[in-house]
Amino acid sequence: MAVHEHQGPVGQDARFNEYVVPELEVLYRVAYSITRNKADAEDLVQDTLLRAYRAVERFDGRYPRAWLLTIMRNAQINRVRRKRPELMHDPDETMARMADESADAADAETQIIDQTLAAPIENALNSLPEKFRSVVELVDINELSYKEAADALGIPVGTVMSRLHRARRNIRQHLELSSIEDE
Amino acid sequence: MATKKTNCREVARRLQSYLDGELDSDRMEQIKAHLDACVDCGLEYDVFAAIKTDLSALTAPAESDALARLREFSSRISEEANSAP
Ligand SMILES: [Zn+2]
Repeated sequence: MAVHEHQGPVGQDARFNEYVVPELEVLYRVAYSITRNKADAEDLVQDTLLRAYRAVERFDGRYPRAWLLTIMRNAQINRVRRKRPELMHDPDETMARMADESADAADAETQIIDQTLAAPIENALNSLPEKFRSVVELVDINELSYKEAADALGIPVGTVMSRLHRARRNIRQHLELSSIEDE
Repeated sequence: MATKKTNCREVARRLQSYLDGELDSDRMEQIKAHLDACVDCGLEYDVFAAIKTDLSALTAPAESDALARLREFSSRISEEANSAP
């Protein structure tokens, strides 16, 4: 019988509390960067928590955040696949498109507020195409490492770097232009 | 004197990674030495450091309602895992 190989619910719960619960806030923020929608973000985190709970007994305890971000990435692919099976050829592309779509409604709503209240830096950030903006959000706002951002987005670290660097150059340009327009 | 070895082009190439603390400590020190000594690279660094600082101040206030619900969900995770499909 394999019963004794399992740590049972107590060990599983303890490991979940040790490795997963401390990352809740990061998970939610990253989920929001990926989905750009509060309800979707919450759903995605719940999905991630369930998957993590089931897998936590096999987790070796190293780099819990990277492990969780990979789980979240897989959960997101699954959600997208369920909603839009025809778009599954390129998960990266699909995620970006999904994010774009769900962003539309939120954007329309927040843009009015943004235009009056947002700092120039926020306008610059919002002007970026989604795949650049999400890298900036993960690294600069949510303070993920390059590796963690790569795990969350399912792209190589080199791609994180090139998108991030290009995004920052764009932001800089945007800020320089807007400061000229203001004068 | 900053090392001439770490030249401006190389610094430009690694500036973003330096800014994010994503280089090994030797490389971090070499670049820091160059930035302290080279006005052009130093200014370039200041611009991007200011952008990064401004961006990090945008921290979306983590939604406390959503987080509270997720904490609650976590506290009954074993039941949730058993009832979920
Ligand atoms: Zn220089």
